[in-house]
Amino acid sequence: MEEKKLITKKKLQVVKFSVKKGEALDKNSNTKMEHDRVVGAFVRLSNPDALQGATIRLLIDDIEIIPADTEVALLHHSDDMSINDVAYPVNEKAKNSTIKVSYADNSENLAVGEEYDVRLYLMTEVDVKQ
Amino acid sequence: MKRYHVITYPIGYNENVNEEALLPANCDNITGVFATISGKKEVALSDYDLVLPFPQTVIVSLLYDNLTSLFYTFMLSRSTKEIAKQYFIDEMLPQFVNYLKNGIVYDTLSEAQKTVVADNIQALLEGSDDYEGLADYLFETAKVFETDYAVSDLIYYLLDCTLQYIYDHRLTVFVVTSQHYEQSTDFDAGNLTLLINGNKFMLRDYVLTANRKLRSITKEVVPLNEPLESNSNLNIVFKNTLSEEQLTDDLTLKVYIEYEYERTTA
Repeated sequence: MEEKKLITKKKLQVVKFSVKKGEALDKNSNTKMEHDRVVGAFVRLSNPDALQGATIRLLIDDIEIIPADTEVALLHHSDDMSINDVAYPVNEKAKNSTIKVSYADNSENLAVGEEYDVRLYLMTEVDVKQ
Repeated sequence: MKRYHVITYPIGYNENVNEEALLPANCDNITGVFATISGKKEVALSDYDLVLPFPQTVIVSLLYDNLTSLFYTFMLSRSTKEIAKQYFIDEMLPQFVNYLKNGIVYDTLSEAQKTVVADNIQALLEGSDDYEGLADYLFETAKVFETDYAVSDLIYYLLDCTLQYIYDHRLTVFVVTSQHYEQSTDFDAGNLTLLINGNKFMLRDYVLTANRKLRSITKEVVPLNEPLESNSNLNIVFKNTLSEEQLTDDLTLKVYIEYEYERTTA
């Protein structure tokens, strides 16, 4: 019988939440059961004008991946960049781990509407035998 | 495994920083470092003119889909220019206003701004203090009554003139007032020096620019290789070089330290 090869497939997971002007919020979620590893993270805002001063913190399985007070601008993916250049490399177990995102907005004096969307993208990998 | 650590200091009016910070306990080897500084100002809202894109395709399709049939009964049946123009004003202009005013809608604008654009279009077509009006433009400037076009071509000539008339006034019609905050531009804020255990320099008189555009972490990091003993500390010395006009009481210094550690698995 032919031996099966282990192939790694790349996947994405999105954690989306809405932020109001001046708001600080916590968002809890879970990584997907079928994903094996988290290998990167990046953020996109529906209104990039809100970037200045905004901070983010990310914990996966209670391990601090992105420390408190990190500026969102450092992890933000703009349209003119490659995702691989932006994503912060991490290596964490996925498989239904808890995700905790703390996001603090600081856009009081920025040209931003009352509310905007934040999407945190987790780049994940799945091992498949084929 | 690589991780990074953030150290934040608010800097008051004309202050310098001379602080000792603890590094994370599991930090074995510093592999990179960078720093950012931001100075947000409280600014007032100010008005500015938002020039909207010219909706050429919308206008063309509105004109050609809805108004072509109106012209067949029009031109040949009128004997003088005055009668033709009066007929145009009475019977056809309301149709132009109706279709263009209700057809050109900028969905992203607020209700008040939509009303402004609709009113502008109505004033442009019907004529006002600022605009001569579509009827005058067609009959006096474009001289549609005197042209020797055949009827089938005349229709398109009329529609082209209408489009031309709207296009000529696009910079005053498709404009709304919007509000924004004027943000402070980037400026050199001062020099940063980072010392480990009081004797090893990681950065020395590194110029920090406030409010500059940040790139992603992987591109910001200044690579280093600095093995550490346990319980090392970090001296952060920031000397501000702001001029008198630039002085602000709201600067925030952030130092990012990328480090490596041995991961202990349970």
